[in-house]
Amino acid sequence: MKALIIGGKDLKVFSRDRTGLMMNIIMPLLLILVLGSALSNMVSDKAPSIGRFDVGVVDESGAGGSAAVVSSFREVLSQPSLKDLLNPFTMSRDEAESAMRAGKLAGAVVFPKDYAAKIMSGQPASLEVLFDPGASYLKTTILKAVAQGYNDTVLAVQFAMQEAQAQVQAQTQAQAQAQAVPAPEQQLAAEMARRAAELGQQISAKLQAMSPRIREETAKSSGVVNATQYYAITMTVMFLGFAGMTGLQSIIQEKDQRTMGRILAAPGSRLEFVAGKFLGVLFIAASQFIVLMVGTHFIYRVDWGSNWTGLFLLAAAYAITMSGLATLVSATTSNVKAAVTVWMLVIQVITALGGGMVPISQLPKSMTRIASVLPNYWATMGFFDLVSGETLAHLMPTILGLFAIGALSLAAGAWRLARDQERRG
Amino acid sequence: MSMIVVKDLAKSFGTNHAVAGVSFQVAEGEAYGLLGPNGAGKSTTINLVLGLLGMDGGTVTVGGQDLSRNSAAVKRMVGFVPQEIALYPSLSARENLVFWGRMYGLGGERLHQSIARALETVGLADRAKERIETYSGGMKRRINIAAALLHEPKLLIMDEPTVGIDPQSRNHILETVKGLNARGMTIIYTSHYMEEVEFLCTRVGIIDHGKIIAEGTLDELRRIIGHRSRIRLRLSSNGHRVLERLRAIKEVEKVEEAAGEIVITTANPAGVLPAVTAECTENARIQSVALEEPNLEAVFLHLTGRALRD
Ligand SMILES: Nc1ncnc2c1ncn2[C@@H]1O[C@H](COP(=O)(O)OP(=O)(O)O)[C@@H](O)[C@H]1O
Ligand SMILES: [Mg+2]
Repeated sequence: MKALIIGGKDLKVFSRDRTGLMMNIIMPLLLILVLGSALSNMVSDKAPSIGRFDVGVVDESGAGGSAAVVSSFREVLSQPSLKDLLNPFTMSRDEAESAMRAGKLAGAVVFPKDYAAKIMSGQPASLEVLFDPGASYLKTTILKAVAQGYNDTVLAVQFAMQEAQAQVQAQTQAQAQAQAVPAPEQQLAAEMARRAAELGQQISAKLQAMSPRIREETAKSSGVVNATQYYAITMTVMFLGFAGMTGLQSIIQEKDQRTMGRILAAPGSRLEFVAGKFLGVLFIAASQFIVLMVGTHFIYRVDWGSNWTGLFLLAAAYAITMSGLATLVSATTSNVKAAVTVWMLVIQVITALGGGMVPISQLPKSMTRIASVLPNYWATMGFFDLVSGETLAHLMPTILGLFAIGALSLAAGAWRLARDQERRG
Repeated sequence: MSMIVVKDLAKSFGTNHAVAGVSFQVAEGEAYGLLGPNGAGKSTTINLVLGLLGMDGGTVTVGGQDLSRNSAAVKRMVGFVPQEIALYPSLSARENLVFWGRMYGLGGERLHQSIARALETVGLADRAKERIETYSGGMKRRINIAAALLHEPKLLIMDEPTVGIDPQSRNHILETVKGLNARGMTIIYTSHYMEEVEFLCTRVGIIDHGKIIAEGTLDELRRIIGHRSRIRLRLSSNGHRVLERLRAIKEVEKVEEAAGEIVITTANPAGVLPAVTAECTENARIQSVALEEPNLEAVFLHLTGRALRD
């Protein structure tokens, strides 16, 4: 209860702070506008539209009827329902990787070793999807959906064929028949090719259902992820990172203003105080997120998708992570002012690494690799996934991971702070 | 009955023994002054009593409740006015009071009544809607006090509540506190202004270097210096012959010259004054005369050889 009152008070104090509002609301809105228009070429260079993009098809499955299976996959991709989206090229894994490194290829679907044979013997098998981390998240999504859709159908067809075969064998007991009938992989491929049109439509329908953006795109094949949308997400993530520090600064402020002593002189524990400050950060981050989301939606027409629960959970998880880390950082240093400065710097650096300033597609691979272990990158990718229609379930690992980091570092930080307080007063 | 009993309180910061065995008791309804110069250990003592600092040793009992065992009960009985203005500058006075009232578990009608009463007490009801940052220093100090009154504490602990404000606001605050005490509230008041403590308090502890070096009623403390008064004189010209002659006057105990002033110590100021003026006007013109009754400042000087304020 006391924690809630303290958190509410912090939100009120935040709303009265003009510089704070400028820094946390107006600044990001301006940055989104500036970056969005200045760098729109860079973003759209890479992702002019989903219109039609190149996809590698890599066959590593080896001998047998696998070539026929792979060509049935290409058959699916060339269906009218999908051919406006995808432009398949057969290539090797190396070719695909170097093309992706050069930014010339969004991704590739790999038929792994013994794919067809495994399928036919009823073993679990799946297609591998390679993608350029710098490619439009939408392309990646499409690629994954296509590979998944194909694989699911292959499994279903194989199952049906096995059932049918078992029946035939039971009835006729004719072993010689096997000679006359084409190899099972060939049968599978033939069946897949026969179903290509139907499957193409299914995948296309699924893609359209997943994302309003794809719906629009497949309808008119024009520009996707515009620069403003891109920066709306990366800047929101960056400023949620700053919010972590805001909370920390406000603890220091309570110390300086001696209001902390006064709060602690009232009945209640130190833990309630820390919890209250933490809630304050969360309230501030949540309102900042809402304002930025609604603001960019109405001012810049940014599409945030419709998964509100997902958006808020992800924003909350990320805010918790960052304020937890901020608490930990401040608790382990004696010079909090320096910690604040360093934090601000670190946030900007990791934002840059994660493509928050210059689009990921323009960055060297090594940077993206470093970024991919950072929470801000997870959050950014999570938002990209959400706005392109991914489900909450898909995002759960990210959200839970962020929550866990936040909770752990908050607990460690709070413990250090409380112990410190006790010693220093 | 004792409202608060403090025994052998101790706290060190490294090698600095900020509070080195402080003990005192305050009876219900009493106004107790803790007088000492800056750095004497007043705030540290108060912070220990409130449980804001972990103590190295000692016990604190408020209204029969031990602080270390039942800090919540102790905290509910105590109102605290910190030395600094512990308010949120961007919130209005009323918003601040709502927050502080809630910290003590007040809500609804009861909260609003307490706020109205507290604002009334400090005389700022008409300015309550304005932000604290627009207030003068004196007004901030008054709200700082109001925030401690909301939950109607039995014991009000005030740590130098008048530092850095104009005389008018100071008088207002002193009158307010006197009024609260008259209505039965027990008060602990720390200060390095002896006038405030003399005005408000019935009993005083003089604290220096973390120890209470003297304690008692005002009268008892004055008795330490034997009720001696001082006469301060400023003459147009000082000759050491004048000093000699003044020393010769009956009942004059001591004559010193400091910073162009002649300071005469005597137990009978009214009796010696005519002789003093007569001696002085013989050789020079008297520019000013001041009579200082025995006060706590003099007591402190007597005990420590230093002035309360530097
Ligand atoms: N948090 C602290 N850390 C280190 N030293 C402190 C701290 N608080 C007070 N002190 C020291 O303890 C002594 C008493 O200080 P304080 O209680 O604030 O005196 P007062 O309130 O009488 O002016 C001083 O020497 C002061 O420097
Ligand atoms: Mg002090």
